[in-house]
Amino acid sequence: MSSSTKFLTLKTNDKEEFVLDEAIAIRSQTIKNMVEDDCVSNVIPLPNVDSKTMIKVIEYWKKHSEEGISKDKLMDFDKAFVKVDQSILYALILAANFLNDAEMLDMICQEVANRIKGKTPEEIRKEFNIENDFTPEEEEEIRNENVWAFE
Amino acid sequence: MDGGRPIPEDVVVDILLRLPVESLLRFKCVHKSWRALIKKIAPGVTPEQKTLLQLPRVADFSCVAGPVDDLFLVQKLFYGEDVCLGLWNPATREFRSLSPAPFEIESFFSHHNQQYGLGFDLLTLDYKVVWLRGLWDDLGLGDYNRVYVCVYSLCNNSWKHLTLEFPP
Repeated sequence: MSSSTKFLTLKTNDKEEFVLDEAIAIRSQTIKNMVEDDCVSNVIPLPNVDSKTMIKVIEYWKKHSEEGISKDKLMDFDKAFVKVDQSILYALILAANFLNDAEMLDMICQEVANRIKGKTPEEIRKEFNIENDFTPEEEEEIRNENVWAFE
Repeated sequence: MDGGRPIPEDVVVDILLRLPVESLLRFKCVHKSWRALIKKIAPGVTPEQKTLLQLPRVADFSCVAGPVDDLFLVQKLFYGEDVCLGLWNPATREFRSLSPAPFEIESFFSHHNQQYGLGFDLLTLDYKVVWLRGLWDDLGLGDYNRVYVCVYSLCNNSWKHLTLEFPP
């Protein structure tokens, strides 16, 4: 890196600070916009991201910013990257969405889709922490409309 | 998820769009908001309409317009005035027959040809069918030839009648 390398300090919602090369940090469109609009002071607060999640995000950003890394190596990295607990994966979705990193969000959404596609509605509710707002009769009616999808 | 913040709706849509149709239809009963989202993604699904037509029975229909967002406009083979139209989504295997069009044709009009159109109206967020019928006054009893136009709205399940008169 040249001597003109700029560093940004990112502060997560649990008050941890991460010092990062600006060229890497602007993989986040949100941060990039802030830098371009010149509204970056010393520290960029990330009120929607905790430090545990930010460590993962930075790991991803650094790997994807490595010069000359092969596509195969990146694919292996991505595969291993999404092999995490459900709770971490959802924290990553929220972080990728807030940071506006389309590439990372795309990868995680695909992983979530792969995980949920064979599940039952009950399992989905549990997974997404959703309260069932149908009466048993209404639910029965929807099931009857699409019986074949439940077979 | 750890009881935390809910996933924003556009991200949920992003995930749902990657799912096969079977999963989507099954997930309609997860939550009312999911049902609404999935209806947008896989159109042609209306709660009032419970007619499920099995695939073999679609055999005597022919496609006359579409597809628009997976929807085909199909017409039952007909004789004389007995026209039956329906909207069919082969992916979700759902079928909805359209209410009959309010055509009242004077008896002296005979032969006609017809054209169908299917489209999504962005202003009203509604699927619409346009049915044009050209009618000829073969017997010379009427005053002129006419083109009738009907527009069907999927949301209202009803037709609106327009009369067009071409300049001579």
